[in-house]
Parts: sequence; C-alpha cells; structure tokens
Amino acid sequence: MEALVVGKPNVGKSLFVLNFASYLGLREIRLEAVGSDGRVLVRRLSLEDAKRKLVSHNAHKTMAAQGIDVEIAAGRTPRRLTIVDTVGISEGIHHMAEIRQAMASTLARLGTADIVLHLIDSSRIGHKTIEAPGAVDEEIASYARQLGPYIILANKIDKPGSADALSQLREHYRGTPVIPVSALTRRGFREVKSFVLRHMS
Amino acid sequence: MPEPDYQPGYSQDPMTSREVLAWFEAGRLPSDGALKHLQKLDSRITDGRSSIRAPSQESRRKRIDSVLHELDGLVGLHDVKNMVHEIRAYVDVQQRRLELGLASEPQTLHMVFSGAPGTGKTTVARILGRLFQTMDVLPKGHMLEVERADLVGEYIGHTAQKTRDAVKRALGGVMFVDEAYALARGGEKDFGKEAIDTLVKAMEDHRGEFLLILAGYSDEMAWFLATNPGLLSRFPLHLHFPDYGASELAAIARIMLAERQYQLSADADRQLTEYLVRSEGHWHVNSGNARLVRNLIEGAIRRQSVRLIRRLDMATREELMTLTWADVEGGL
Repeated sequence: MEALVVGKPNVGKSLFVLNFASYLGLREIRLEAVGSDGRVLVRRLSLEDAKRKLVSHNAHKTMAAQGIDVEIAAGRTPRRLTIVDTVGISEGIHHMAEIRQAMASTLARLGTADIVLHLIDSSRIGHKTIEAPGAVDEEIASYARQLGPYIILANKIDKPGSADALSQLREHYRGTPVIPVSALTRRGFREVKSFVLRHMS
Repeated sequence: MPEPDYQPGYSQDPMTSREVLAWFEAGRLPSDGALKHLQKLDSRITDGRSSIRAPSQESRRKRIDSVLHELDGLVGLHDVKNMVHEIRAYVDVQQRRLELGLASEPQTLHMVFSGAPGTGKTTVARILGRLFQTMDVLPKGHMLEVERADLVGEYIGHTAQKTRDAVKRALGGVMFVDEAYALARGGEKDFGKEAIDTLVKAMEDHRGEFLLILAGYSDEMAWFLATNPGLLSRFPLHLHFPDYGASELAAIARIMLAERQYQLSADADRQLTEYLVRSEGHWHVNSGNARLVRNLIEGAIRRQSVRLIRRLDMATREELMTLTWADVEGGL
C-alpha cells in the first residue's frame, strides 16, 4: 500500500512525512530514494538526522520521491504502508530542467498511488509565494479525486488566521474531505491515520 | 471542450501520459497543463468509465430498463407510464446532481393512486417498488399491502402501535394502503384519524426510507385528501388510473389467455371485441375492469373443460387450447 504525499513546493510535505511516520511508530528512518537516474539509494537515519537532512525552509529541497515504510499495528496483523514524499510541483514552467525532471517523477507517481494525501499551505491562501495554493492544486484535486482515496490536508494550521483559511478550503474543495493538520505540532495526525487505515485493506 | 493551446507551434495535444511527462520535462507544458492532460489520458479514468465503473452503471441501467420494460408491457395506462418515466428521470438527475455536489431536491415521492378497481394500481405499485430498488432509492423494494383493518386498532392506543408496526415492516420498500379513504370514513371519533396522523408522522420520521402509496377510487380519494389539509401537500405525485377502453380490455384478455396457454377462436375473438365495444361506457363504475376480464376468462376456461370432458380422450392439443364464443358467452 502506497500513500503519496503531494503538493506545491514548501508546503511541508517532507516534515509531514517524517513526523507522520514517527507518529505511526517509526523510530529509525530507512530512506529509499529513487534518484532521477533510476538508481535506488538506501539510507538509515534517525528521525532527527532525517529532519535535518530532508527538511528546509527553501523550496525544492526534496529532489526525488522518497518512500518510508511503516508498519501500522491495526488488528491482528500489522499492515505495511509506504509513505512517499514527493517533489513539490510549482506553478507554470520551472526554469530549471533538473527540477522539471524531478517534478515529472511526481506526476508519474500520481497515477499509480493507492492513496493520495494532498498538502496545501493553509497560511498562504491568496499569497503570491511559491507555496500559495493555486491552479496546480486545483488540477491535482480534480485528477486525484477520481483515482481513489484522496484527501486534502490543510497544513500549517498552527499559524494564526488558519480557521478562516480552513473554512475557505472546505468551501472551495467541497466533496473532498479537508483535514486540518500541522506537520510541525502533529495536529490532525489521528484523523489522517484513521483515513489511511480505512482505505487499507 | 477545446483545450487551450499552451505553446504556439504545437497545435497537437500529447497523445500518451509518457508524452505528457516528456513535454513537461522539456518545458513545453506548465504544471497545471500537464496535470490536465494526465487526467484526460489516464486509462483508469477515461477507460475506467467503461471498464471499471461502467459495468455496474451499465448493469444498473439494464436492470432499470428491464423493470421499465415490464411497465411498458402493461396495456394502456399511457399517462401513468409517462409519469413513471418522468419520476425515473427526475430521480436519476437528482442522484447525479448529488454526486457532483449540486443542490438536490429531497426526494419525497409519496404518491396517491386513484382509479377504479382493476385498473392496475397494485401492479404499478409493485413495479415502482422494484424500480426504486434498482435505482438505489429504496434498499429492499418489497411491497406491503395494507388496508384499514391492518392499521386501525380496537382500543385507544392500539392504532398508533399497529400503524407503526406496519410502517416498520414496510421500511425499505413500498407501503401500499388500499382503499385509503376508509381511514377517514368513520367520523371524528374514529381511530382511522389516528392512523392517518401516525402515518404522516412516520413519513417525517422515516423520510426517504419508504414509499407510501395511498390508493382508492377517484372520487373517494379526492374527498379523503380534502379531509386532512396536511395530506395533499405531502403527496406531490398523483397518478390517475383511467378505466380501460374496449380494445384495451380485449388486449388484456389476449395476454391473460396467452399466459395460461389458451387462445380464442377467431370467431370468439371477434365476438368478444364486438361485445366489449358495444358495452363500453355502460359498465357499472366499479365493475372491475381488468378483474372483470379475468373472471370472464376463468369462467370460459371452466366451460370449455365441461365441453371437452365427454370426449377428453379424443381432444387434440389444438382443441384443448381453444376457447369458442359459446364458452365465453356463457359468462356474460
């Protein structure tokens, strides 16, 4: 079972993946990264190391899809989930070929994911920054909701003014569940876990 | 809908998902455009409509059509058939609107059937139950046929209990109250009024969980609906079942005979049609319409048996199947 975490650059995908994995009981991150050249790299990192290495304030820190395997204890048999962190998709045509290539790998994975978790930066609605919600989010939503289990995670809900943003997002993406989360403070992780569990069979 | 052309000089759209990604990597498509194309080319969505989602959709359509086909097979009843087709279209559209997140009218489809006995009210109600079941409006689609005696109790407090029990049995299907006007006939102190109130309350409590059909003679039903001001507004659909004409009754006779593997001799068929035409308009109001035809046919079948019993060993297959005018006439 593969849960794909997608969204625009710098909305907090990597931090969400790491913190969510640790919330699900993971102590050590075993990173499997498929580079753009097709080689699979395996790295073992402690959670803190992983955060330091993978999360940054700058956009496009993640340059390749990275999967983290987690076992969720639910019922008698633990179930295996791969949470896949992806390259953020920016608006328009990116000027760097390398990043375009990396983003293409995300787009390709979108079609094969079992569950799509779509992160939106709820603190940047109406802004012009790279992580602000925009046309790309619309297209991801309209595509992914037809593919299978799909939810929108309104991230950065810990920032001020987020209640407004949340109702705006709910209004805009009516028909799709929108869960307020904070990758930083781990708010809403319980709901995300129950959503994922519900769609794992 | 024509897709906007993202890059002058490339008038064609990418043909495969792989091509989309290649174009995207080459900087020929913006992110949202690429996603749009991927969505359009995704076989799980485009083909999926015909291969994964569609079979259930298609078989659902087929099942609905087969139920409607059965309805259309009934003789006459043009207005009723049109109304049922309208209801079907309405329910389908409302469901589709709901899927797309549009405001959809709540489906209150409770009905009043008015018409003389033997005009097909029960038959149509039964078909409606099955229709709504295949359309996922009602989970079970069975039909519970009740009359005054099934709803009205014998002592104070008994009626509400009895009516609620009946509703409980009808949940998920159709509750067909035959001769519904009888509920209001007893006057002010009658328990029938309590039964009506309980039914009205159940319609609110179990909104959308069952379909209530009140049936009865036209005049009495009009009077009945007038007695209780809340009733008329709660039954948005009124279906009138007209009396059958002569040719329709003849057609019904032929269908009933074919079901029983009998046939009319050419002479009997002509005479019967003539007789029905002659007496059209002279029937007693409640003479029974289709039921009258059934009684006529069953009588004719019995008389044919009497006619044949004396020389049963010599009777041919043809003779065993054929009713003569003499057989039919005896019942008129």
